Formats: sequence, C-alpha cells, structure tokens
Amino acid sequence: MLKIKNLTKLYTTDEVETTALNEITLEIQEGEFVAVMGPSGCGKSTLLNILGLLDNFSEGEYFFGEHEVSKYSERQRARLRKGSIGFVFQSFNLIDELTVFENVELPLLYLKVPSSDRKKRVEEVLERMNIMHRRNHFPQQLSGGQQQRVAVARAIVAKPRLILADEPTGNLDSTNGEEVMKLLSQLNEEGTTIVMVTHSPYDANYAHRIVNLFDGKIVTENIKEQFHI
Amino acid sequence: MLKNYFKITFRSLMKNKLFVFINVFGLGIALSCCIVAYLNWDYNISFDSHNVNADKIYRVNFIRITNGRPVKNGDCPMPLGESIRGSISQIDKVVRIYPIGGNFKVGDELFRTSVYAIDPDFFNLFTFNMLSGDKSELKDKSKILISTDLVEKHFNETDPVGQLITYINGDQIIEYIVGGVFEKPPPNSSFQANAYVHFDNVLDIREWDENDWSLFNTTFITVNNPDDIPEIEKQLQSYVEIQNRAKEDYKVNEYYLDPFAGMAVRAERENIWNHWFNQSLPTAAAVAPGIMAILILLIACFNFTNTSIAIANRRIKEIGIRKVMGSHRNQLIAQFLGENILLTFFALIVGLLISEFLVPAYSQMWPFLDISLSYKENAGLIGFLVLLLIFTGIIAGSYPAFYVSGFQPSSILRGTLKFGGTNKFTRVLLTLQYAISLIAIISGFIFTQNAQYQKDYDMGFKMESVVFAYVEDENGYNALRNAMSGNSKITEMAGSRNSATSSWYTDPIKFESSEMDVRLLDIGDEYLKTIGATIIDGRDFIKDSQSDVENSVIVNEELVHSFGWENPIGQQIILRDTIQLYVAGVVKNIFIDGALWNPIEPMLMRYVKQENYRFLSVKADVSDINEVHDFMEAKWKEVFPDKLSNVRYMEEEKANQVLVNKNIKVMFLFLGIVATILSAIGLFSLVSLNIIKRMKEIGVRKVLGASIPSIVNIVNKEFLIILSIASVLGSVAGYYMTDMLMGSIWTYYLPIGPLAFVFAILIMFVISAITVGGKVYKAASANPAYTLRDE
Repeated sequence: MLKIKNLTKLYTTDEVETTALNEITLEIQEGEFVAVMGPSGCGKSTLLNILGLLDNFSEGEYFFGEHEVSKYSERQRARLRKGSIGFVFQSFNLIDELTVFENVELPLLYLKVPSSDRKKRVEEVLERMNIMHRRNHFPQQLSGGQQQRVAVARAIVAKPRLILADEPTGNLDSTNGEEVMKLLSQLNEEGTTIVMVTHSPYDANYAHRIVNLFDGKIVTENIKEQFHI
Repeated sequence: MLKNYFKITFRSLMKNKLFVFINVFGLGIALSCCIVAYLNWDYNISFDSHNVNADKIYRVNFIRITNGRPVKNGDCPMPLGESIRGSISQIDKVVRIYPIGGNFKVGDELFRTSVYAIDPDFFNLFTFNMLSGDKSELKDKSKILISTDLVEKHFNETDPVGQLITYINGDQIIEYIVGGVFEKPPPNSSFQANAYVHFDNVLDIREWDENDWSLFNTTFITVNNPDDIPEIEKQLQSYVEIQNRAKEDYKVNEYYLDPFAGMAVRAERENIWNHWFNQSLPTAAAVAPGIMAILILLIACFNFTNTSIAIANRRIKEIGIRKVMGSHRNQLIAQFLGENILLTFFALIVGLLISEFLVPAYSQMWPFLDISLSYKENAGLIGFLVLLLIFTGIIAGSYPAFYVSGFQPSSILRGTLKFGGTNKFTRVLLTLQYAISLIAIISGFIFTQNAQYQKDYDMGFKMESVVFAYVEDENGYNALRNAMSGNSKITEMAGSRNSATSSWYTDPIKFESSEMDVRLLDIGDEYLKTIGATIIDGRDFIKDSQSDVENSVIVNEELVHSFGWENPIGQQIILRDTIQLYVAGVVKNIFIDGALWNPIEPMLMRYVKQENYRFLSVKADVSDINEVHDFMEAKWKEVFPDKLSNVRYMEEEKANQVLVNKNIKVMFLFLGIVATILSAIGLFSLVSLNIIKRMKEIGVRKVLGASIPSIVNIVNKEFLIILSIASVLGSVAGYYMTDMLMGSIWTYYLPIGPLAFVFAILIMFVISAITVGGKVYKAASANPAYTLRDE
C-alpha cells in the first residue's frame, strides 16, 4: 500500500544541515499494523508526517498505492489526506472551540458528506468509542483517555484506508492506553492499515512488524506475525 | 461547513473578548469618521445636482489680465446676453441674473432678504419645485416668486399667492404681487435667494440702460449639443472688441463657457471673481474630514491586523488540524478573511451607532452644511457602506488570513511553531501606526497654535473696535452722526462712500508702463483713524482739502511693493486711464475680509467730500463696543423709524474665518486624541500578547537572577525602538503634511516651529508608558515558579 525508496529528509537552517531521514526504503502492505520505534530525534515522527503527506521529503520516492506522490501539489495532497488517511496524535489535537460531536464531524465536512449521513456516521463512531454520552462536551471537559477516544473517532469516521498514530498512548495512563491500543488493533483487524510511532515496547507488541530507526536509518525490522489482507 | 465556521468564529471571538472589543471599537470609530467624510464629500460633490438640466447649462465667463495674471470672472457685460440670444444659433436659451438685495415690507413687518432679478426662462433652466402659483408669472415684471422660507417667516404659512409685498430701496417703493411659492432649494445649491423678480426690475431700480457695455451681470445659456461649445466660444470672442471699445480701462481678454455642473466647487477652488452665488464648502471643510478619516482608518486597520496576527497564535492548533483533515489553503484563507469581514461588519454597526452622534455634531459645526445619516434618501450611502465594509475587511484582514493559512501542519502539530506577539510585519505596522498618530498629534498642536496665530495676526485695522451703518446719503449720515454725538464711549466717528469690509470696488490703475486692477475705497477724513489703520509713510487726507479730493491717494504697502517703489510719496498713477493721482500716504496692509486665506491685494484710497458719504463708522474701546452698538441701534430707530437697521459690527466679516479656524482646530484635536487612543490600545494589545509569548523567557531569566528593571528593559526595548523610529517618520511626515494643508487653506499661516514636535513626541511616549507600564511591570514581577509551571 505504501512504498518508499531511498527517502531522505534534510532540515536546513542558516548554518546547519540536519539529516532527519537517511535513504530509507520501506514497504507497508494493505492491512498491515506497523510500529515505528527508536530513540527521540531518530526521525520517527518525521517519517510519519511524510507518510501522512504533511511534510515534504528532500530525495527519494514515495508511492501511495500506485501513485508517486512526491510531485503532488498541496491541493492533491489535501485531497488524498482527507479521503484516505486518519491521524491520531499523542496530544490529541482536538479543536478546543468545537464539541466532541463537531470535532468528529470535521473530516466529513471536508468530504462534503450530506448532513443526515454525517450525523449518522458520527453517532455510530461515537457509540463505538463509547463516548456518545459526551457528544456535546468540549475537549477540555474530558479526561485524557476520553479525548484520545474522540481523536480516534475523528480519525476513523471517514473510514480511511490508513491510520497514522503518533505515540497515541503517550499522554495516557496505562488503563486508557491499553484501551486505545485495543481499539487500534480492532480497527486493524477490520482491514485498516496502521502505522504507529511509539516509545513503548508494550504498545509495539500490538503491531505485526516493528521498524527500528536510529539516526534517520532503519536499523532492524522485526516481523512478529503474518496478517490478513 | 459554513455553520461550523460560524460556530468556531463565535466561540473563539468569545475567548478573546478584550481584543475583539479593541478591534471592533477602534475600527468603529474609524468607520464613523469615514461615514462623516463620505457624507461631507457627497454633499460637496452633489452641489446643484438636483438641477435636471445641469449638464446643458453654461455660464458666460470672461478672463481679464490683472496685475500680469489671468483672472477668471463669473460675470459678463450686460448687453452680451441680449446680443447672443438668437445670433448664435447653437445657443438654446439665455438667462441674465443680477442680485438686488433689499428691504421688504409685508403688512407692518419690515425685513431684509436676498432677491435676484432674472429673465423668466430662469425657472425653465434651473429646477425649482413650485408649491403654489406658477413660474410663468415671472413674465410679468410686477410679480415676485418667493421661497417657502419667506412664507414661513412672513406670511404665517398661509398661501401668499396674490398678496402684496413691498420692496423699499431708499425712496423707491415698488409693490410686487406674489406670483408663486417655490420650495427653498437644498443648502448645497448655488441659488439661495428667497425671491425672484423680472430682470427689467433691476434696470428700473438702478436706472440702467441694458445696452450699456460698462455694466456687468451673470449670464447663463443652455446648449443642447456639447460639441458646439468650441464654436460658441469662438463666436463669443467677436464681442470682445465691442466691450473693450465701450470700456477701455477695463478690457476683457476672452470669453469662455463655464459648465454649471461643478461651478460652485470651481468657484471656491479657483477664486473666480464676481461669482455671486453660493459656493461649495471652504477648502478646510471639504478636505479635512477626508484626511482625518483616512488617517484614523489606517491606524485602526493596522491595529486590527496586528491584533489578529497576535491572537492567531491561539488558533494555530485549529489551523493544523484543519489542514490534516484535508482543508485547502484557500478554504482557510476564506475562513479567516470571512471572520475578519464579520468583525468589520460588527465594527460597521458600532460605526453607524457612533455616526448617529458624530454626523449631526459635524453638520452643526458648519452653518452652511446640512448632512444627515439618512439611508432612505441617500442610496449612495448604502453603496459606500458596502464598499467600505469589503475594503476595510480585506485591507485589515487579508494579511492575517494569508499569513496563518501558510503554516505547515507538521510544524504546528509537532509544536515547533511558535508565533504571536510581534514579528517584522507587525513591528512595521506598529511603527507606521505610531507615525500616523504622531502626524495627528502634531497637526492638532500646530492647528491649535495656528488658530491663535490667525486670531492675533495684525490685520492692519481694529475691526473689533468698530461698528458701522449704511446710511444711504449725506442726510442720513448727518442725522445719525448728530444723534450719536455726545456719547463719551465713542472715540472716533467718520463718514465714507465705501466701507472697508463690505463695500469696495475695483478699477484699473497705471504707473508708467505697469497696469493693474486695485481695490478702491472712497473715504472721508478720519476714516482710517476710525477703523484703526496705520499710516506708515506720508500723511492722512487733510480735512476739506479740495486738492486731496482731486489729486491725492493713499495706497497700501502691497501696492508700493507691486510697483517696486522705494519712495512712494509723490509717485504719480493714472486711474481709469484718465485721472492723475499722487500718492500722499502709505497705509499698512489692511486685510479687508479679516482673514488670511487670500493674498493681500493692492489697494488705493481716495478722499471724498461729505456729500458722497454713504456709511457712518464709529470707533470705541473693545470693552465698550457692545454698548456703543446698542446705542447706535437705538439712535437708528429714533432717526429712521421706518427703516430696517443697518447697524453692524465690523468684526462680523471675520465670523467665517473665526469659525473655520475654530473648527479646524477642533477637528485636528479630535483626530489627535482618537489617533492616540487607538495607537495606545493597539500597543497595549501587542505588548500584552508579546508578554504572554515571552512568559517562559521572563521566568527563566528571573530564575537565572535577572532583576525586575532589567526584565522591564528587555520587554520595553523593542517598543522603544519602534516609538523612536515612528517619532522620526511621524515628525517628518507631520511637518510636510501640516505645511501642505495650511498652505492649501491660508496664504499666511504659522511658521512651523519645533515646539509642536517636541510636545507631540513627549505625549506619545508618556501615554505609551502609562498604557503598557503596569502590564510590563506585572509580568516582570511575576513568580517564575508559576510561569514556568504553566509553560
């Protein structure tokens, strides 16, 4: 589903050039659950941002499905993102001024889903995340676990083929963290491809494959089990 | 999606109430100033626009070379109108006009009003709304058409058609029958006369021959095809010679047609001589509101932009999330621009509310102005408001919208992007904003100083110590003078044929090969002394001297200067190509209109015998002048019980100048205060947001041992640099702008000194220090344990 070849990402400031990703080659199959691990600053989040078309890369190739996306315009990237990719962040990144319902509804608004359909789908996903009773609350009125469940609901409401999760349990206690990981695992079992950046070996265990990064390079890849396509 | 945008807009505005208030209120004041400026501009530009034939009407003007320069005149020789009627085929209609002010009587009530003698087609050329009677009645020279003003004042609002109204001019008494009533035209109309009579009346009253080429009146024509204008102007030149032969000492250079559309505005701006009609607004009243509005709008827009950028920091996560969710940049631009236009809309509502007070207040400042916030009657206002809304929304809101929509979502969500407070752009805007404010404060100071300068300027005579009256003839003069004598408060009394401020005439004089038109006053002995003029060379006229009557003149300094005389006394000049006169004395320049708007003109005074006296002038100490005025009024009633009093303060002539000076001062003080308040609140919001952004830095510095003064210094340093740059820019721009503005209003005005600049800069710094001092000190003295924990 995703294929990157010799991908390099350089950050250039006035005097210093930093290599965040160094000629990485990686392929992720449809339905796979991949965990990306490594120490802070090794390039995990940069890789995830590039996979999510939020960031550009300096050299190499990136195939999203059949399409090479490195030359995509901002408009094409936005179109691909809103239709195919869901994001889950460590710090939840919910919009404080919108209620739970409105936050989850947002991707469907950009997809121009009709109002009645939108309501139905948001309610379904809120039910599934067990957060329906909080639908009219604002993010700051929720616990961390609840906020992350809303973030996951928002990530999946548009039924994306790919979910990119950046340390989804990083700001949660173990109980809530476990709950979120089970949710992601369940989504994966239903066919959604998941790429997750994590520091936690425990969370990484939910993945089929663990990719270890160090100084911008893939140093090891551990395939834990086969997965269903 | 729109609903989603509205929700988030409303909720984020509610989170930033203070800054929203600052933006909306500041912009509201600016927009209300723009509304006043628009209504003022519209009033001026709409002069005479109610006349449906305005585009076809032209006035026959002429140009005469006076003192070496071409001078436009708004009149033409009296026989010209009849000569061109029918003889120039391209001309459709010809209308002659002559103003004949006079006293009228209705029943026992005596009053003075303005009357025009006109050809009957006048009412076919110009648009008047007849309320009763018929405009064709004016073909009968015994009929008079009167305005609703006269009806209200003198006919108890009953229909006066058919009633008698008596015209009194000295011994002349003419009975007119009211033929119709017209609605008084709006104040921005050239024709403000309250009554109109047939043109033949002026010939009867003045005993004039309408074929006399030395007489002048205003003549309007209509031309159906504007392409004919050059041909008509060409044919008009054939009348130059006839006129010049008839009046060799007053030669016309050429005739030209002056379009009626815009005539009133040109008359004000181009100083057209012998324009007898209502003029457009004085330059000061026409220009100042627009300049004020632009300056205040710029300051408010800069404030708006700066605050929007600064508070966008609080929306940054939303921008990132929207981009992640698939929002295009255009959608974000539209969202933020829409929000800013919505805020501008709120500001416009505030502006309209403020305008409810500001518009009538401004209108009341000028007696000749009548503007109101009427949406129904002024469709242009609605259009202007819509344009103003869009323009202001885009000017103030486009940069923040483009700026924030350009951020990379990965930087936002990674938390590496921090902005808010100030950046290069906001610093530039704040500098400009303060520079403009300084211009406003400097203008306020300089116009205040200038108002005093104008008040204190030596006009060459003591008009505030003089009252005078038109007494018609020698008998009237003697009667009133005798009645006045014995009043110990009166220090001087004098007679004259003309009066310095209200009755002078213009004639040509020659010195060797130089020729010029000069203003003339025919005066009696002691007149110069009575009005407080100063002889600076030579002597005053000698009482009852026949030689002075025939040969002597007193000239003003400007005339001496114009002819380049080193020793003016004894110089010979020729008046009207025939009369030889010798300079007996030089009088200090007299600004006869009591104002410094126009350049001083060369002036000449001749001595006349008592049999020619038409005016009695009386001098008293300023503190006694009101008492003497009342005394003269009382004596007038005793001496002329059947005549309307003509007693006037000479200072009345200065009233318009005093009003303009006062109003300009008020307007620029208002501008200075509003600009300062807006800039101060702009600085307050920027400093506040900058402090929020720098709380961590302040905390760390304190932990590392920084003192409160050193932190205050760090926070203030940036703003001190901004204020210093703004001081230089504002001072330079302020100097040129005020000099240009004063130059466009007055010929003689205050030389700009450094004091206004020093005070203005001082005020700006002090107000800024007061505005942000508390905020900065509070931040500097905050406990770092809390600020770092919050961070």
